[in-house]
Amino acid sequence: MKDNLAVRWWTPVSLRAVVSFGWISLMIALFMCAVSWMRGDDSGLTTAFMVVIANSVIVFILPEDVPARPVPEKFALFLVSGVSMTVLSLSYILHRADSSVGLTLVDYWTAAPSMLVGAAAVIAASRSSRWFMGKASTEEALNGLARSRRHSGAIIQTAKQIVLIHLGIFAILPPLWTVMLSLSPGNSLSMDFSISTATLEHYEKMWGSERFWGWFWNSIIVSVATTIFGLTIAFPAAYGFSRYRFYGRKIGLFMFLIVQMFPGALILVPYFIVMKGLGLLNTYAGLVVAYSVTALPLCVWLMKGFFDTIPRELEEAARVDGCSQMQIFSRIIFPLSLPAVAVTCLFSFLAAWNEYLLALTFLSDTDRYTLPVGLASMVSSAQAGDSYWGDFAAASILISIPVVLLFITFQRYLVDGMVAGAVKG
Amino acid sequence: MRGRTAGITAATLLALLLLSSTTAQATPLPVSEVSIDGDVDLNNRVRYAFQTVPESAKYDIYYSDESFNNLTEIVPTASSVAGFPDAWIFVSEDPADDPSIQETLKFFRCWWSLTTIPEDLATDFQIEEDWFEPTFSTGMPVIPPGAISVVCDLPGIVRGQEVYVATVAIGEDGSSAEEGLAVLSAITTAESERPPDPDMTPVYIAIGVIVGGLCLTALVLYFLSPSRRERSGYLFILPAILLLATLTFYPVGYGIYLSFTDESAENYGEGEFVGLDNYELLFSDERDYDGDGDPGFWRTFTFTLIWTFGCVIMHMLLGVLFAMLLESGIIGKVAWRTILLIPWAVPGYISVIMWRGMLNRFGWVNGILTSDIDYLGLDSWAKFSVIFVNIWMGFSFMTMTTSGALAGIPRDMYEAANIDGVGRYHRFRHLTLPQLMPALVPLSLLGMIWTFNLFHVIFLMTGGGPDRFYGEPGVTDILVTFVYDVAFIDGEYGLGAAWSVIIFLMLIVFSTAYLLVTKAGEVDG
Repeated sequence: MKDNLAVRWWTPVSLRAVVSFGWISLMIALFMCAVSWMRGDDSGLTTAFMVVIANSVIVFILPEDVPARPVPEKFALFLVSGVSMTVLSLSYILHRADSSVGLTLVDYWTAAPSMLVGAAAVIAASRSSRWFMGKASTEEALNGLARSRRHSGAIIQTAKQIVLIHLGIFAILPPLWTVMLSLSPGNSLSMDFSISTATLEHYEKMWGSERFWGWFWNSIIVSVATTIFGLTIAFPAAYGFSRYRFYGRKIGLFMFLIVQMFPGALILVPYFIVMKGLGLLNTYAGLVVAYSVTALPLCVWLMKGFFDTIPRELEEAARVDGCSQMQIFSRIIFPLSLPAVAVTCLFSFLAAWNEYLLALTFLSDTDRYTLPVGLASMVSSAQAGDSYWGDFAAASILISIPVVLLFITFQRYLVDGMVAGAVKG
Repeated sequence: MRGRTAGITAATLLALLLLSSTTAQATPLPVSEVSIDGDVDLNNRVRYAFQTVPESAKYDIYYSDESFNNLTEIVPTASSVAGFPDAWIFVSEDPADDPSIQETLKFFRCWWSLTTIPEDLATDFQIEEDWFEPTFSTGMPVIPPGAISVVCDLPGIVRGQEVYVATVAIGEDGSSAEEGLAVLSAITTAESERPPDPDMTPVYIAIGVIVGGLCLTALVLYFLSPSRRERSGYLFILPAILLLATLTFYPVGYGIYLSFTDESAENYGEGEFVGLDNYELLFSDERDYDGDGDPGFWRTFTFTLIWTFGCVIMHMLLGVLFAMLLESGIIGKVAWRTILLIPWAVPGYISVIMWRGMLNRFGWVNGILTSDIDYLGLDSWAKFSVIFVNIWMGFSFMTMTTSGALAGIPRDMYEAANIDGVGRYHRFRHLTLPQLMPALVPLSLLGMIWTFNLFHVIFLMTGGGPDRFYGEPGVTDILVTFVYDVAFIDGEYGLGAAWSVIIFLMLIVFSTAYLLVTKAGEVDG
């Protein structure tokens, strides 16, 4: 009985591996279709489409976790699909090599997986011909099951890693491009990057640029002032909401919640007019006040949540011991809530540091620009390709590195805070 | 594009601008006169005129912060909204001549005439009967070759600032323009004649009343409060409430009021009550400049919904997929997590500009794919591109949050499922998904609110374009980006406020759903 079961449930591990990797090559073959279509390469598109069909056959022909029966027709299909995948992707490569632009990295990358999986399918199928025919002996099945157990973990892990590599490239491609652009000579978009011609000229130029540092300091001043001012207002408010049960408390808290729902763009017009009326356009103060108000609800909610976890008994005890309210604040609440305060500060700072819309609206004087508006203005007219792209790239890298490091270090807190309802910067 | 720039340097430069009726200190203008007009009745716009140059096929108009003699010296102004060049006009017999050009300027408006520009143009120049509207080729203004002079309303120029404008005439064949077309340059030192600062007393009074009223309320509540202990809470929250009231609730209220007035940059502070006119204008043929029977509201509305739902659905799908991959026992989880974090960590505006550079027709994407697609200039591609870029920017946040939620699902449930022989699909459908839902539903609603309000992606990628007709939203404009144009490019505050109120009403739907789902409104006791 046991032997019988083994024969029925066993699928050769090589076939499973082909199916696992077949999924990946199928996705890439679909991409091959898309690229051919975007190039307007009709015969390439036809070939790519046929690769997709052959690949789908391989992926879908062997249902998982279903007993294997004598399936000679599937054996034939497997072989034919494998051969056609290899041949088709090879002919795709040859076809591209013939084209006016020649072979590129993308061609190799899109065609190679199908070629490999196709070849692997042929080999795996021919080695498993006895299994396809239902002639595998009990001994073979038991060995095969043992081999499956040994290797399947590694196969799946490899497949996952390959997917992750693609995903990772997708995630870092734009930053990578920016790094390359910043190291290429010339300020044009159509860069031709190579290690030998790499230059730090853009970094040197931005590092020595008065304008860039002007924007940088504007951003620093505004962000730091926003953080301090926002915290000064939010800290007592959060404390009040957490510690006192007064009439109107719930309405107040609810107000702080819904305010988060209508961010900058909505109140832009009246904001602008009010700021203009108060003479706060083109000033640091205008931005600081505006950013503080935007960040206020989140800060209050974050810190209130934290204060709620500090036991009241601590304060009661301190009060009994004769502490004044100020002393309770400075000696108990503040030291205890330092983590929450730090996260709140980080939020206010980053929100102000990355904010674009309000800064764009409120600032018209180039010298008052914050970094987002300043950097955007460097390439705002750069459609033609010959503007300041190299400089922009260098400046972006200089600014992004500290921000990205902050994000990586504090990712848990930031994710939690965002979920709590921050406005994305 | 490089080739064209080279052609331009040799091409004709003729330029001049006056922001207001003041003196122009124009340096020699070798070929043709350039004249200007100052005080136009269009907000934030400057009326600008030039004589045409024979045998030119196109005029590019550039703004610059500093004076210049050739194009390489141009310092782009911050107010330049349309890209580079800031505006352009085609010369052709046949308006449908060049269908390949998709990019147009929704803020730009021009007229042409068979007469020369009158001497006394400098002040109060009005468009009269001998001026004709251009035809359009896929949204581009096209003037006939016989036109002698052209008048344009240049948008997006900040008052009180010196701006230099260059018009570059480009010949049939861009590179052969050097023969016969001389270089012109002109400098203006224009002082804007600003409208007098309006009376801001109403705003001061309003803010005063709000502050006073709230303080009084707090005081009354303080002294009426039954509990001596709890009442000091009022003192703690008062500053925050005051700030919120004056700088959030008051502006919102003021915005609603503005939407019923004809307030604009021009009659700033003197807007009059016009009832529901602004709301009617949103849907009226008066704003239908391209004559397709749709002033653009429903088009923008539809794309806003496509944008919002498209982005959020993809964020959720990718987020769940990648989070499950991350949490499925892979080697090097922390490293992968860190790499996947990057799209979220890079400042948003930088990501958008990076993508704009990469998706440029002469950029990297076309370079590596060896394709030739104008991703930001073709209607469908532009829509796809902005959504794609936002997906790139947002998926990593969703991955992070979802993987946090996944990590919280107890392992033993999966073990039990394994023993029972539950298949992979059913494991996901009946085990993982129900456990994730409490985290995913509020997140997706929050994501909708964010995406709906997301300004900088579209603004920095396409500026709402392509196919932008004067005064109408572009193909990729969403409500929020178009409000900005109406209010700050056209300077029509009242109309912009009306759009904002519409957005506000739509947002209430999302927000209510969010509050109901999360029960966030039920504040703890």
